[in-house]
Amino acid sequence: MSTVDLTLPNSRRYFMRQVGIGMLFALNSCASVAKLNDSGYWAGTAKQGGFYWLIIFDAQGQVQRQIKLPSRGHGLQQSTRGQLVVCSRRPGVWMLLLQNPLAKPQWLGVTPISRLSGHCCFSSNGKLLYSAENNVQLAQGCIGVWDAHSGMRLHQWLSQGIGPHEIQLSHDGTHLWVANGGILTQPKHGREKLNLATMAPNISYLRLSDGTLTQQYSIDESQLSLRHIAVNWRNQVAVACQYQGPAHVRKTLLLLISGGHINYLSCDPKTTIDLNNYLGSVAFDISGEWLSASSPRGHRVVVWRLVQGVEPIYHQSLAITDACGLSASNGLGGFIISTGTGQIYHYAAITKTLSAIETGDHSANDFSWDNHLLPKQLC
Amino acid sequence: MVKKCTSSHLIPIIFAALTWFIIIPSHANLLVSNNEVKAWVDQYVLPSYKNLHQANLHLQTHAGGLCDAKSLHQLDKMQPHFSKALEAMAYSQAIDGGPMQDELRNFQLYFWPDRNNLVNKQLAKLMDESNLQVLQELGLEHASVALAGYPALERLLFEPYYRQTVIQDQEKFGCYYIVTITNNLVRITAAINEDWSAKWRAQLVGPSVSNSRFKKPADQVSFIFSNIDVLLTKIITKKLAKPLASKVTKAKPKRLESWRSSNSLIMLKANARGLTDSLNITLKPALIRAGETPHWHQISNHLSLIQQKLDQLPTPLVTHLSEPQHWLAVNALQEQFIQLQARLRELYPRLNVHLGFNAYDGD
Repeated sequence: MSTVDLTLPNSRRYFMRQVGIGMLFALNSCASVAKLNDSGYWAGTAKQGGFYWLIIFDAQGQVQRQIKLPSRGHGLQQSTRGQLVVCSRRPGVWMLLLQNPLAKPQWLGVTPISRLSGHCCFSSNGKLLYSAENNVQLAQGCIGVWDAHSGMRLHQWLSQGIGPHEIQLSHDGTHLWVANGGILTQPKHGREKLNLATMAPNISYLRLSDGTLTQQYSIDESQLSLRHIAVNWRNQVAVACQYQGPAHVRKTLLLLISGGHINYLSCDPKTTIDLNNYLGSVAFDISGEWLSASSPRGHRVVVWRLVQGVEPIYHQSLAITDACGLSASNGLGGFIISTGTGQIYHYAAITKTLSAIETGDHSANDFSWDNHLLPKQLC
Repeated sequence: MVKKCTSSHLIPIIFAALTWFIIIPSHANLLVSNNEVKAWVDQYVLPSYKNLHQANLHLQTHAGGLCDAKSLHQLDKMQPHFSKALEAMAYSQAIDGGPMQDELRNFQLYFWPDRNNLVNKQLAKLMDESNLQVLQELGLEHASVALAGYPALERLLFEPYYRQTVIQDQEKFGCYYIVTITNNLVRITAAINEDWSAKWRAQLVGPSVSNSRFKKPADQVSFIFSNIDVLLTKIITKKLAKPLASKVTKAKPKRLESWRSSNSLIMLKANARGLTDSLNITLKPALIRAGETPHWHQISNHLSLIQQKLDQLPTPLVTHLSEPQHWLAVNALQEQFIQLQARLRELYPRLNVHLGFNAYDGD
């Protein structure tokens, strides 16, 4: 049942490997379906052999499905109905929509005046899909609204800022959290940052019924790009930032929106330096009480605990080469961590135990894992 | 008796063949071994930082008597020691990660490139105000990185205005500041050497999940080649591209590093030696062991061409870069570095080396 593109003319051996993988998965399709229904599966995007892939893998790190992507992917989300969406990296033009993890791929394309920012998410009932976009003509951030079944684009709203990046549904499904990173880009300039001197990032809270702004949070540090967010069941929002100022100045990069306030989560000075002004991903555990953020440039993952859901306490800093992808594992305080060097780890915050997920051949370790994993296991 | 070959016999054979193709990755034996990692640390990293520290100690020694008999001659006598220290630092730049980055030591030692001209601004202010706080113990540790290392010292030793200021200052602030900078340089490189000896060497050569830095062999190899790649990128995009600009009439010689002390070319040569030694220690044995000697010859050829082109350039480069023939020569040198980097990046996937996928190019 695996979807493997066989048009990869890398080498004879590589070609034969792919043929073999495809045949084995074809033989094993029923078993795969059964597995996806009753065990833990995660998903992420990755690079291998010069190509980009969506990868679905199990708790043992075994790849269960891989789909070739047209270009580098970025964020992933799953709906309560089991739909899965992958968004292309900015400036992106495609989204991959699966009605379930085993379904046939649907490819969604944006209009010529829009570029995807790398993240999208579903409405709480799975009927709608929202995408973070840059409107090229307006030089404004937008939220695209799509039919999550047909893939048809319905309409769009303003994101209430420039350079929206990650978007997440609120705890009750009535609002959308939008991290407007503040960085202006234009397709003709690729990924060049055009407004570093004037950027004004914010976190906007949009009402899903009509896209209106109900609340907005900003900070004094105008060059701290608010890029990635995670939301827990209390509607607390962890915000992971990237500092665009001078490299020799190091800033606190993690913030928490809780009870209507936005506050910095400060680490010790050494860890702040180690994070290298760059967080790549942020995730809550399944309880919403533990929080992790990754810094691939600092080769670090920092972990915090919100004691009784309120008081943030710095817990630990882990040194992991090129760590970036984060996902809640099944256990309390548990996280799956993926790296650009092809490693996958499980971290148990309560025991402070980091374990490598050792795999056999054709394993998840073959890939350079990209920025993000699905925030939690597939259902 | 000849056995009849049935389909039931063929299935396990086909399955085994397919499994073999799946299990055996392409060029599986083409790996940098732990011996090469150890050799890199022991033959390149540790000696280069030891030399850098020794050079800083010499600089400190020669700064020691400066305030008792401050003169232009005394400043002149420090200059070759300053250049030796810069050369040692440039040689070490194929390893810029690890302890060098702890506490922003890389910025404290050598704040360059300085896009906003911070060194000039901060130094002018400091010398004007004679802020005694920076002369206190650990004063420079808490001051701006623009005041803490080689770039500030270079101006004090080589720029006529600051040389005169140091000599004529009755309060001797300038000369005590020079002494303080050399003390700070020694403190930083002592800490780097200590960190490598006490922790980093063992961590880099012994990857394991319990290792607080390097969990897997892939991590240690990624660390080495990421450092090499970072230096190549720095040479191509900062040390050469900025001064070269798009054409000779737009050349910006003062975007060369350490042009005030005429060390730009010396540092490039030291960079090339650091790269050559690192690749000889790590990549060469891996490629030869894998029967890929021709690939090593290509890399080696690039390194030789780089060396040749560096040897043909005039010094000081800052006075010659705007001359068409030398601009073209530097441009050709940059092209060689670009080709070397491209060649190495082609090889890395075959060596199972993952350069920082997200670290370099995340979003």
